[in-house]
Amino acid sequence: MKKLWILFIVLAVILSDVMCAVVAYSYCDLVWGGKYAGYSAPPSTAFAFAIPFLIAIAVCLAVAYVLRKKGK
Amino acid sequence: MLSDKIYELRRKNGLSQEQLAEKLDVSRQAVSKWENGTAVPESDKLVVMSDFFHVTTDYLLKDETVKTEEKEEKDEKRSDTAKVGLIITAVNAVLLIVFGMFRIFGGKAAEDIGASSVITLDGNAIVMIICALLSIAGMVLFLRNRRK
Repeated sequence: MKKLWILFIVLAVILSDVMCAVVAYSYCDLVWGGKYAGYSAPPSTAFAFAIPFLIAIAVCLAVAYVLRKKGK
Repeated sequence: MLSDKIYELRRKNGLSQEQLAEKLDVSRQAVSKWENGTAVPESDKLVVMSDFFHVTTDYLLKDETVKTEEKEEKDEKRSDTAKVGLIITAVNAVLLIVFGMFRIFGGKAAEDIGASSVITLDGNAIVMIICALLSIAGMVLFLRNRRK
């Protein structure tokens, strides 16, 4: 339980990886869709998916920092 | 010190020296002497004072700040709330990861956005936003109730 801060660091890292995957996948799909399927939304719309992930990453890092400080 | 503690407890409870003296069945001068440190209350008065102020005699007599039962209960409750906050944060972070993966392997995300000219929120997006907001709530709960 004393190493709880590590769990939150790991969660933050995984969240950042998943965020990159989600944004990249959506971006590529929108680029393809714009060219071949007549999508009207610009590919940059895919970056909106990053918002909840960025919030969660910030929260995990903040909690990890506080737990680490408490453990010292 | 005992004199400081008697003074603090009396002020905290909104009592004058006279009112406290009445409650303890002593004179106002006696309470004044206790608070100035020129006299020390008798043991039976100490017991009555500890009951009246809901503190332990240890707290009154010893220099370290010994917690009362009530304060200990409150601290335990705060610690439990902090743990709940941590759990909420962690669970929502995991849910966000799961929904992110679902988004990729579900494959309909970009199609939904591209099919309309404005950004619409489908169920997955709403859940992801809720997870992010709940993780903020969990963090706030944890930070406000952690033991400093």
